[in-house]
Amino acid sequence: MNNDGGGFADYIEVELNTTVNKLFSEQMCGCQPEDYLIRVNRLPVAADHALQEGDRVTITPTKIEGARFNIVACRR
Amino acid sequence: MPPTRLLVRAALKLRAVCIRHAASAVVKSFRDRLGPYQTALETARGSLAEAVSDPGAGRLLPLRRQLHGLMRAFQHNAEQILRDAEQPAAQVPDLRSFVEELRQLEEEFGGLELDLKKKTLGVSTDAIELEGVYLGAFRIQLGWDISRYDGGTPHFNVIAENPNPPSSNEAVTHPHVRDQSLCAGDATAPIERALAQGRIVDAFFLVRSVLTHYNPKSAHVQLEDWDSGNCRECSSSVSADDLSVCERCGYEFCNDCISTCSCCEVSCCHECELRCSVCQGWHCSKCRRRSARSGRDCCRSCLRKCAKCGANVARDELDASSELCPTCRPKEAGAPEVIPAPAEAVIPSSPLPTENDHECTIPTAAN
Repeated sequence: MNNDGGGFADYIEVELNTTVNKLFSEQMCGCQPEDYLIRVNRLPVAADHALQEGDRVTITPTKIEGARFNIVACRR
Repeated sequence: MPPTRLLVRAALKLRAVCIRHAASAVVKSFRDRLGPYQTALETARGSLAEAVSDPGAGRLLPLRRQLHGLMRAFQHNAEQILRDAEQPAAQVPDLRSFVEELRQLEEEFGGLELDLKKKTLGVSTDAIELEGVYLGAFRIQLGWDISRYDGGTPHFNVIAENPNPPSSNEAVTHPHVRDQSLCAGDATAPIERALAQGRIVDAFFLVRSVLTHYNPKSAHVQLEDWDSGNCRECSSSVSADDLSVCERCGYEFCNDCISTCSCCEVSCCHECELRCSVCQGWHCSKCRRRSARSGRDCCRSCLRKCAKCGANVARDELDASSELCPTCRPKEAGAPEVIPAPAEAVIPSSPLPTENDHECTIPTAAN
């Protein structure tokens, strides 16, 4: 979710008992949760799920614009 | 769910590919960052040799500055290489993480298939429909046979399970899929990163996100043209809703090139229709008839049976009163013409001839 998926997965620090919903609001300003697949430790969770230390959170968009040209092919 | 042993073997293969890819990325970074300094070092070496051989020529000060700048730039890039190597991207997840990735793939999509021989793993999406166009389900297949793929990176194939291609291009099964190859657009870089970091599920999620979203600005075939076709006669491209099938030849035609049979009312193209010589209407080949007497083309509505012989003839060839065909008609109506009509007697005004009058004749009706 950081750098619109173009960067590396990263470690972040959050306050104790931060909910997934709060984390989303802070990291994804202006975005709607229903437009993303949200997983904590590979499982779908409720919005009020409280994060624990070491939790792995992934947020993947459900709508991405494809194209008709393959960028790798163009580079060739 | 595939058995655990198969999951572990596949995870081992995938992890090995990721490690290889991470190592080659670090090597590439090393070459890209430090390669240009090789030339600069050679230049500096030459300058140093000259300065040593001729120290009085005032070359030492500029050479010192040049070397300082070179070493600072080299140090900066070497530190960057070290930082890159320590990034999470270069740290490939452990085997357990890869097994968990495969398990999650099965839970999210279902139907996970692993083929260690072909070096592929695949899952299926649900049926996809975009803007009213049904495209069906797709098989998302990840191949890790690095010898087949440019750059040695795993590659996705997207295979339509029940292809519904547009009439204009059978190789296109989705607006962003042609020849089973996905043009990921905005998802290209995130997919590459996810695969490089061993986040297999994220990569599959991203592929599915492209498949379930339509980008009209960059599609192989626009969805509005998906169901269009070409008229067989005039070759114009029209929407499928504006194409009609000729019921006789089976080809598709636009509204301008198709008509309706005046007898059976089926759709019929111009090649398959004929004009009736009696009513001048257009009819299809099935409704075509030939008059038994004249051989003229006419529709079945314009055929009538002769009241005597029963032959089907064009209705304008039957006698209106007797309903007889031209062949039957002369036998009944021609009898008076064959037997001559009786002649009328002519009474002469002169005295009747005697037996001694040899030149008198009895007048008869004129022949």
